Amino acid sequence: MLNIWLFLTFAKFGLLCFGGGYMLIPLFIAEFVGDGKLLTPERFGNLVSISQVTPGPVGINAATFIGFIQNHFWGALTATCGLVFPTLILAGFAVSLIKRYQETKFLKGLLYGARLAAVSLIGYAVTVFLELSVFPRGLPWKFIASGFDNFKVSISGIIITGLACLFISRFKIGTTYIILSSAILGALLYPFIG
Amino acid sequence: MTEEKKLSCAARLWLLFFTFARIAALVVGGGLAMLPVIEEAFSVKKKLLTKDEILDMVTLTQTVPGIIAANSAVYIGMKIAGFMGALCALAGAIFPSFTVIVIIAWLFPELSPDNRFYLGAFAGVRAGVTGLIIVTACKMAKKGIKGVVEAVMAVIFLLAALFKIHPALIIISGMIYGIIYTSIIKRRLAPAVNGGEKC
Repeated sequence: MLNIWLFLTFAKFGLLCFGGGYMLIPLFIAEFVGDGKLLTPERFGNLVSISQVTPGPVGINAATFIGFIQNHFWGALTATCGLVFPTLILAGFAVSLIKRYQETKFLKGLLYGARLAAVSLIGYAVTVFLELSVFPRGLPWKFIASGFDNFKVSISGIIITGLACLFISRFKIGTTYIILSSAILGALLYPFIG
Repeated sequence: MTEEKKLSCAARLWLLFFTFARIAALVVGGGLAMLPVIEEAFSVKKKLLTKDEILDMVTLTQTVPGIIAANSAVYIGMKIAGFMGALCALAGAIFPSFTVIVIIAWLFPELSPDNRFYLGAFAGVRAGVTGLIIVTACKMAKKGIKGVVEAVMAVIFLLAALFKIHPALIIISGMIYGIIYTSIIKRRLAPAVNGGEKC
C-alpha cells in the first residue's frame, strides 16, 4: 500500500471513531483482517494484545503497528499521523465552536446515532474476539446448519475470559495486571488443557 | 520584553509536549484512564486551566471523533498555546507509543512465537483482552441503550455488522438515523410536550 493511501485510510478511521480508541477495533477488522488481507485473525489478536500492554493509547499503538507491517518506519509514521490528523483539525475548530453548537438538535441527533452504531460495532468486535479465544473453529451459530460435529470450545479460553470479565467488572483490577496474569495463566493452561 | 515573551512561549510548548509524553508513557490502558491524570497535571498542579475548562474538555473528547487522548491533547494545547500548542501536545501524546511500538514491531514483526508456552501466553492474553472488550461493550451498551427503540436499532446494526456490512457505512447510517430520529420522529411523537417552545 502506498503511503498516501495509508494516510487516507487511517484518516478515515480517525474521522469515524466516535467514543474512543476501542471503536477502531471493528474498523481495523473490516479493513485488514481476513483471507487475502494484511493480517490473520490470530496475528491481529496478538497485535491488539501488544497494544494493550504497551504504554499509550491503544488506538495509536495498533495503528503504529499496522503501519509498520505495511511500510516499515515511514508506514508507521504515516499511519499514526493519518489517524490523528482529523482530530487535530476538528478538535482545533471545536475548541471555539463547541459552546455554540453543543445544544443543537442536529449535533445531538448525530452523536446519538453514532454512539448507537458504536455500541453495535463493539458488540461485533466481541464476537470476533470470542471466535479468536473461546471458539477456535467458529461461533456456535455457524454450526446450526451442519451439525455440531466439528464444534470446539477452548476450556482455557473460557476460564481466562471469564476470570478477566469478573475481575475487571467486580474488583476493578487495572488492565496491566489483567493482561499480565492472563499471560501467565495462558502459559500454564493452554499447553495442557487446550 | 519580547525576548521574555518568546521564552515563555517556548517553555509552554515544551511543557505541553513533555507533560503529554509523560502521561502517555505512564498511563497504560487507553484514553479514558488519562482524563483524571490530565486534570491533575494541568488544572491542579500547574493551574493553567480552570475546572470549567476541564469539564468542556471532557464534553469535547466525547463529541469530536478520534482517540480520546489525542482529542484532549489538541484541546489543552489550543487553550494554552494556540495551534502550535495543539501540535506539540499531540506530538507528545504520540511519541512514547510510537517509539515503543516501532521497536517491538521491528524486533518481532510476525508476532508468532514457536515455543508452546509462549504460544499459550499469547493465547491467554487474547482471552484476557476478550474479557476486557466484553466489559467495555457492556458499559457502552448500558450508557447508550435506554429504551426499546435503541435496543431494536442496536440489534439491527449488530446484524448488519455480522453480515459484513462495512463499519463506516453502519456509523454513517447511524448518524443519519440519529438526526432523523431526534429532529422528526421524536418531535412528532411528543408534540404536546414540545408545543410550548419552538426552536
